[in-house]
Amino acid sequence: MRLPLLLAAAVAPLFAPLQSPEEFAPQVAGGRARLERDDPAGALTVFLAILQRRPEHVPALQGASTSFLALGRFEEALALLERLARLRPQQPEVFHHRGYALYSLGRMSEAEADLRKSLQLRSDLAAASVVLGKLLRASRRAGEAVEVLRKGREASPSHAGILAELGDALAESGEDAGAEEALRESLRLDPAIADARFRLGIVFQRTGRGAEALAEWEKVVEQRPAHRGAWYQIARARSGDPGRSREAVERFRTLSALEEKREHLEKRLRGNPEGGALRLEVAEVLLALEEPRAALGHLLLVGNDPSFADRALGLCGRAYLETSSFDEAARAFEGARSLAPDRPEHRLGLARAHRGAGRADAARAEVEGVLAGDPGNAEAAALLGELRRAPPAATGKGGR
Amino acid sequence: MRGRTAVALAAVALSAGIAAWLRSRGSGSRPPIAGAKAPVPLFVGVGAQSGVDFVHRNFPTPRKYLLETMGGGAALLDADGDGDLDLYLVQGAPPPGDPSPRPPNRLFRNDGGLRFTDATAEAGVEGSGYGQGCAVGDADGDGDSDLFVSNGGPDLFYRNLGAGRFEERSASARVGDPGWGTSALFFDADLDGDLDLYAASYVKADYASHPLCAPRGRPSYCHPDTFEGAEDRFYRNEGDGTFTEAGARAGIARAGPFEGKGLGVVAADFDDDGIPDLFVANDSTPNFLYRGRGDGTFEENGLLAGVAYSFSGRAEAGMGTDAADVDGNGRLDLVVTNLNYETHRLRLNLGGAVFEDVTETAGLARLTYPYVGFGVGFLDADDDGALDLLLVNGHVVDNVAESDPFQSYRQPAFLLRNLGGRGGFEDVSPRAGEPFGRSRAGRGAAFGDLDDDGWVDVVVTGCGEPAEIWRNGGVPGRHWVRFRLLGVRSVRDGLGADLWIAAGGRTLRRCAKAGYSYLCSNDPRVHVGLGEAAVVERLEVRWPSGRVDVRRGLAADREHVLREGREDSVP
Repeated sequence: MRLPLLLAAAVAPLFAPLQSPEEFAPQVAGGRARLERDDPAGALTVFLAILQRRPEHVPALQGASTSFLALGRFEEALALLERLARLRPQQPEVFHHRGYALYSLGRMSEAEADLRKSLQLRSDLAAASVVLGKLLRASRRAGEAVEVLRKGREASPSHAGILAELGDALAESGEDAGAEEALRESLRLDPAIADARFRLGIVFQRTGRGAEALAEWEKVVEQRPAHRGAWYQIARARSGDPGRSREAVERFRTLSALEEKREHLEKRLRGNPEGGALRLEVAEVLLALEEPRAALGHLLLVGNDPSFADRALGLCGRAYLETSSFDEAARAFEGARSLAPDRPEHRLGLARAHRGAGRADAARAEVEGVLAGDPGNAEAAALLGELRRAPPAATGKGGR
Repeated sequence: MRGRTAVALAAVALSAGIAAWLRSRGSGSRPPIAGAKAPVPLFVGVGAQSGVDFVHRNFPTPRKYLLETMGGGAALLDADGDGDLDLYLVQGAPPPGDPSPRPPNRLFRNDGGLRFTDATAEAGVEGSGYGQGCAVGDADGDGDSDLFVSNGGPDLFYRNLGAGRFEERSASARVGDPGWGTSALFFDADLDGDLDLYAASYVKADYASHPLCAPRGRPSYCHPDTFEGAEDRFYRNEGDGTFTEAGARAGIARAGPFEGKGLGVVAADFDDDGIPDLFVANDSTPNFLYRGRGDGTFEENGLLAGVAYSFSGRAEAGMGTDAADVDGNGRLDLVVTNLNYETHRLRLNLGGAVFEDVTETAGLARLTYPYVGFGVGFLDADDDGALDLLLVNGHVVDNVAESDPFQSYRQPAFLLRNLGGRGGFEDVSPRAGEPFGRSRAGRGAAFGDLDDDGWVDVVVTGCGEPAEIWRNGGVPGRHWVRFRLLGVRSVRDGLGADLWIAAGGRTLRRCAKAGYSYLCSNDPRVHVGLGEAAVVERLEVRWPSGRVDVRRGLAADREHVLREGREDSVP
């Protein structure tokens, strides 16, 4: 893997020379913190740096493989998990993660064996139950899937993901009552699972509760404005009111066009895996589809071509903003601004990153800098207005 | 498969959004079913003793041309005017550079008792080019069945001269489009009393510019996304033996990288306004629902009608399709076969051509998810008055098992018994005879009563495999009736007529149609299972002309000829 220097500098601290595995503890903690902050790309750079020095460093292997999985880079994850399995043959998470990687690569029988072993070692490994449930559904063993998920629910009754998957499996089997119960419980535990809410809407619709279904889908697009399925169903549900339906149809068509563009670009990328400019286009589309982590996965593979380095860093900043990783976002935008000081979007991105990190003064300074050079910049003016009205706390989203 | 690599973390919670990674499932074996014990018709493959020794040849090459995957169609038509169904089968062709002779399309004359004689040469319907599908209708209104053959290359039109002889008139009829034609059908789009022709087109591809696709480092068949969709063709019948291609005016000229790619088509009056509509199943792009305006133009409304996408808003790989009243409420519902990991979809018509996807609640999701479906038809296999569903499957990629251990090239067919109500089905394949116990690279399925015994038989075509005839052994004690339509103001063979049959305390709606399934043309006569009822108390025929004829007291277990404007039977 090639880590572009500019991006690496933007997303990860440089390591001092390390002498022994124990000395890696601060770096491991930092990588884990990035994972917990939903920043697998940043975490990956940390863990890979450790592994360059200590290829069998277990916490780094765990962290790097987890990061690869989160970025959708399953082959690379699998290579590390194989190493990890030799070092930790009784650790249930290793089998769970390897099972997930194998599943994602279509190696289903190996995946099933690993997932079952992980649950044998630790029955309350809820995420393993979820993946095994998906695998069994995918393998036409819906009954077994429901059984596994129900067992998983017993072991982890408060795991919203299991309930969402169970609801999906039951709905797919036409068992609407059971599906509704599981989906409702899932959403009670975690109202943010948009796919569970979408599916609940489907169950409502086909049990004759059209208004309730529409309400659920409208909530879905509030949570995830790029949820294509929800816009599709809203368009249909509002078809009696052409004015309101039109908006949903347009949103659906826009998202569909983005998906088509993404597929087209990814296909081109398969024939040209080194294509940095192509990766930028993919990342841009992924950001529009609200998939910032997948965008970061591509951005980390972008080369160092100076003709688009500032754009890459700017996109990186946007992706970090989306995942509320404000310090990383600020570093990326600073890099972009240093390369292209005339481009206001980098300075405005930096302002948003500062705002998200609670640095309101720095945010204002950036926006005022933009307005000094371009007093008519409406976006900057609006952002300045927001900053003057209500500077958010450090945990804020940073705005868009 | 869509490469959706949504990557959730949360300690690798491995969340939703990974569904498209499901490269698992699907094999030649079927899942166990919980079987009810209702009587099930027994199908028997009649094999070589029927005289039908047709083996489709797809001429596979190392270049893996997409055309090789399509299979060929079949038509059940009364070619010689003797009243029974003859069988026409469409053949592939060698690619450029292959010196092999092109094997002919073949016409098998029905000699009765499910025995057939090859009548290809005397009929003059050998065909040319790489054959795909076929459509049948009395295009010139002279009382016999004409034949359109779609090709990967110039299409063919055979005018029936009578007595089983045909004349190739593609050029003079102006229907010899050189693109890649697939399913086609005749219907009276502008209600002027003659049959127009809709010919679905797949993609813009040819041998010379065909790319070599190798998604996993070894040559394989290209995904249709590799190609741009091609415009379907709408040929308006000018009434003088010629047609005019009027797709742009009709509003059906849609093509592009993410549009078109038609494979299946069916015409029916989905919105009950007396004007034929069209549904087109597209491969990996949104399906079309064209609502007819009655003047030969259409308005596309697939999205809001709920038939263009899956319920999650994704375009699927539509292959075959059929339309019929499956839940007995008098509205025409839709089935579409799709790719593995999508499910074949059943949509019920809520009225006004708005549909609800009942794939999951009807039991189709669990059953069909692993399979690649092609031929499909609603048929009353057991003559109980409820339309059952027959699905023919087979993967597109001949070496799919190398990349997906849950998949196989040859896949089983399914017979699903209608349980009544809102589209609930039971898989009765394991009890329906040996054809359902075998796997094949299934493609087309043509439906019709080949031996005129009151039970709908099936002809199944494959890709590079023999065509099969499945004789339906029926269920003892059930009654049926069949109608042969003779239009006067309407099209001669009555295609597009709606029949409302009151018998045994219920009223059934059936349509006169020949074009549906995948690449196939079917028995144009209207077969109706009556269950225990031995008489049709009332029959109402709504002709495409708008005329309504009513008849009463029609005896079961026989064929009735219905002539437009007459209320007695025509011998």
